[in-house]
Amino acid sequence: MMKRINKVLLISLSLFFMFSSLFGETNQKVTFFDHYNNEVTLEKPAERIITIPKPAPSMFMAVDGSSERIVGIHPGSMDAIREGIMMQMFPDAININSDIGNKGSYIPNVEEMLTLHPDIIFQWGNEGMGIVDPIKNAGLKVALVKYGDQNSLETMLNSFGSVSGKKDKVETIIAWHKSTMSQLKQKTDIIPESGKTRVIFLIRALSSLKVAGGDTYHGLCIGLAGGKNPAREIKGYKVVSPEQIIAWDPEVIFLNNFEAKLQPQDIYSNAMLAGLSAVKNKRVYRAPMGGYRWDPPNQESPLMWKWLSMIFYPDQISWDIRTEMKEKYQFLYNYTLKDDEIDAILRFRMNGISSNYQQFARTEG
Amino acid sequence: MIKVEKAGFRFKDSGWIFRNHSFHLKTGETMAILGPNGRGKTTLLKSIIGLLKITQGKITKTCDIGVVHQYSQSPFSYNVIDMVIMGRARHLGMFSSPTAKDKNLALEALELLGLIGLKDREFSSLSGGEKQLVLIARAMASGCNCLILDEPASALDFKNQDIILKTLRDITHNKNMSVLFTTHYPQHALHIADKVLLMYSPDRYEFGAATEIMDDSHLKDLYRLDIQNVHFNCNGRDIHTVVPVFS
Amino acid sequence: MSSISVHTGRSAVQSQPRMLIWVGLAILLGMTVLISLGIGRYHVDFFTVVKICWSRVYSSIPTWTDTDERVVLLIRMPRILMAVFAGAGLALSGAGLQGVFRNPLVGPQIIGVSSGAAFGGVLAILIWESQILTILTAFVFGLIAVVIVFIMSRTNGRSPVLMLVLSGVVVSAFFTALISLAKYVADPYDQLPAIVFWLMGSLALITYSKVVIAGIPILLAGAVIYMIRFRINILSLGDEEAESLGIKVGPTRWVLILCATLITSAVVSVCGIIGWVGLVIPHVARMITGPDHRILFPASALIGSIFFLLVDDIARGATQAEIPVGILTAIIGAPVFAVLLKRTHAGGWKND
Repeated sequence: MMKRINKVLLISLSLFFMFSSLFGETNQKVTFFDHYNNEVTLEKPAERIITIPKPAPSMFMAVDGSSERIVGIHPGSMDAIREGIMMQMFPDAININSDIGNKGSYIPNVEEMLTLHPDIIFQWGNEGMGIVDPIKNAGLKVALVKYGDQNSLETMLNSFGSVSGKKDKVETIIAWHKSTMSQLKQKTDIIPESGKTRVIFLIRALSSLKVAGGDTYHGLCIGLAGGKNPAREIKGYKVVSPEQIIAWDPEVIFLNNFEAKLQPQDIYSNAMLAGLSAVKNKRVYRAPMGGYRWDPPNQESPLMWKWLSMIFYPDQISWDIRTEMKEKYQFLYNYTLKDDEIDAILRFRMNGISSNYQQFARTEG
Repeated sequence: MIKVEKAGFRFKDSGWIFRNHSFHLKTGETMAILGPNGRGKTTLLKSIIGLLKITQGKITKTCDIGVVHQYSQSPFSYNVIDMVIMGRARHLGMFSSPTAKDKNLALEALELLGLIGLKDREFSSLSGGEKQLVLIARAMASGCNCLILDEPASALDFKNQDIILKTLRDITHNKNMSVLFTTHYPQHALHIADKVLLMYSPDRYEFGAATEIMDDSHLKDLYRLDIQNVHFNCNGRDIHTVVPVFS
Repeated sequence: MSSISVHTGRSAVQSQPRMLIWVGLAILLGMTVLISLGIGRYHVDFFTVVKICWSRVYSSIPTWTDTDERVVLLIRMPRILMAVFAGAGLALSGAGLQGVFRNPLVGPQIIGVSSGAAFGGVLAILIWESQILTILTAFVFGLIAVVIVFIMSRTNGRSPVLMLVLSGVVVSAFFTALISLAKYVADPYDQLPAIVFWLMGSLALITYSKVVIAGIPILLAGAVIYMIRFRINILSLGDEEAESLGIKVGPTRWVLILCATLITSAVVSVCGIIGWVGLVIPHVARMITGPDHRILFPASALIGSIFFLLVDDIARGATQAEIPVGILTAIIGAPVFAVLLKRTHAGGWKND
């Protein structure tokens, strides 16, 4: 009796496992919710993806570890790829079609997109349905992403994870973001309010002086890294007069990646700002540019936060950024970073003239 | 003086307003242009002033002209003295402003017309007669020796009509100026004009001494209404005037 | 009854020496400049401000910090100068245009220059990043707009006022449409905010070099407008009356329009669009001085500069973030205009 039951059990179990693994293979159906709670379904992980938001391709390549699935990107994304290290890491990316829209806007060129036969298209959801509906009307699948905070960043990463079947990797990325946050919190919590470094972020420094307010991602980064943003009462990004900046007297200023020709020297040579602590002590730095610009929300943000914390508290906080960069680039992009490349990412040439930058230098000559 | 030889005017692709008109105005003379509405009096006047260019013929002016319109169309309310000083404009370059000399000439013109008391009043607050006199003073201030007026006194009451006509007569006598005016009132023409021009139709006109050609038949022809020359005595003065006979 | 008493009341003012108005307003401007030097987000106490200013005239040992001096002389002073020039220039242009067009509802926008210059600036923001090129493009397009108005309004070798106005309306509408198109194609994160901020007008980016670049055309063209003040009186009578007085209206009109264009283009090119100053200030001035442009022009310029200076003080001092000053001139200008219009029964203008 027992022998027969065991046999049945064995056969059922084997059959069960056989079938479940079969299902496992055919059941690759992808379902997720985009940032606006639209349900998106694909029969299987996408093989042809178009992205319109500028940071998307870089983020997707970080998740997927390759540029193979991407068939169409925004021309602005192509610029970003060419400007930074993405070109080295994914040389094939340069061949991706970037005619799917025009540089100055997020309006989709739907006919061009149709020729690429995409499985799914990623588009901004916070710019109005005017740039989304044409895609839907053409019968194409679209998933919406949002710009601007840690939450939407994680949702974008998750969408990419679902679409590429790399959910595990995304989990690891997000876990890294979260653990970095708590590491920083440990180090910065012990700094008293009065001792916190005053930092402003200039999203524009050449065409006007525009600061990041408290509710922006840059405001968040400043806070995570233990700094204090004197512009925190301002909402969004607003133009201020040089006098207001003098009144705030920031100790550190960090600069955007948007203005192509901008460098710390431009702030040092601005006669109106000569009296600022940040200028007198030469603590103006331009945000680095890695797989993507470090200043907007992106997959490498934890590196940015740590970099910032060392800039704010060079005597108190220290991380081995270079090593972590090498590790993470290996993990994200499967790429071995060279020391010269790290120097370029951290913008040693223009930031080197500012104080305390040697702490990021390579350890042996 | 003003000499008009075979002058004619038409707008492009339109009929002639007047054609082949010839007459002249000598220094010290007063001339009136008469005709019913729409006969071209004002167009002829504008041609003589120089606001319109005649289509044919020749107009020769050997005098300085001062123009007096019926109304001033400015939406602004200038003071009387500022209004009169504007008469000095033709003597001032584009970038010049009136000097003390200009202001004195303006004041003189006001004095001449007995208006000096009104100099700081707003033009728009004056009576019709006072306004007309101020406009005459403005023309005088420009130092002209020929006054051209478009229907002076036409919109005024009798008393003011009298004042204007008397003023014009005094000016011509005292200053040896020429005066040319258009009018609806043959009575006015008879009262102060030496010569008249009767505009019957674009091709037909009559020019001559006021007392001679303004007889009943000419006037009836002109206005298509019975108009009688009458003579009578009033307070020892012999009056000769014309009276329209309404139906 | 009330209108007559207003009239006679103003006549009494007229007979006071005009010098009094000049001097009074000039003193008021001086005081406003001084007060403005003391206003700002960074606190410098008033006596220090005075001492810093005095030290430029008669050098003395500083009892103030470098920062104090930097804030007063390098940050506030150029901006105050620009506000004075811009306010004076716009008000003067508006007064001149109101006289030439014989209409109280006109401002510099009537000749299309504001929209043209605005479009020039917007185009520059879209195409290139240099601030110098933005200024140049704005200025050039302001002139282009007026040239188009000139060509469109020409009939039989003259430009009747009605044709000028209609052409101005058409050209303004055209450039405004182009601006909308530009906003549509602009990068929403980068160019569009810059365009919107510029369209709302601001003195936040003023430097001494911009004061010089814009100040020179403003001063020169302003001086010319002042010189033709008497001619504008004549022009305001209407074409026929003016020509009867022996003046060809065409040349004077175009001199005024050209000067107004230069001034407005200069202001728009460095400050963006500033509205209402050219429309409202001449009205206020006319209520004080009457319509004679010989005193109206300087009064408009002085009142315009005082007003705009005070408004910009609010724009830069009231909150941490800069308030675009064009918004303030509209918020303040429109209701003030409504009140003034009602109270003085269209003061300075005859009833129809």
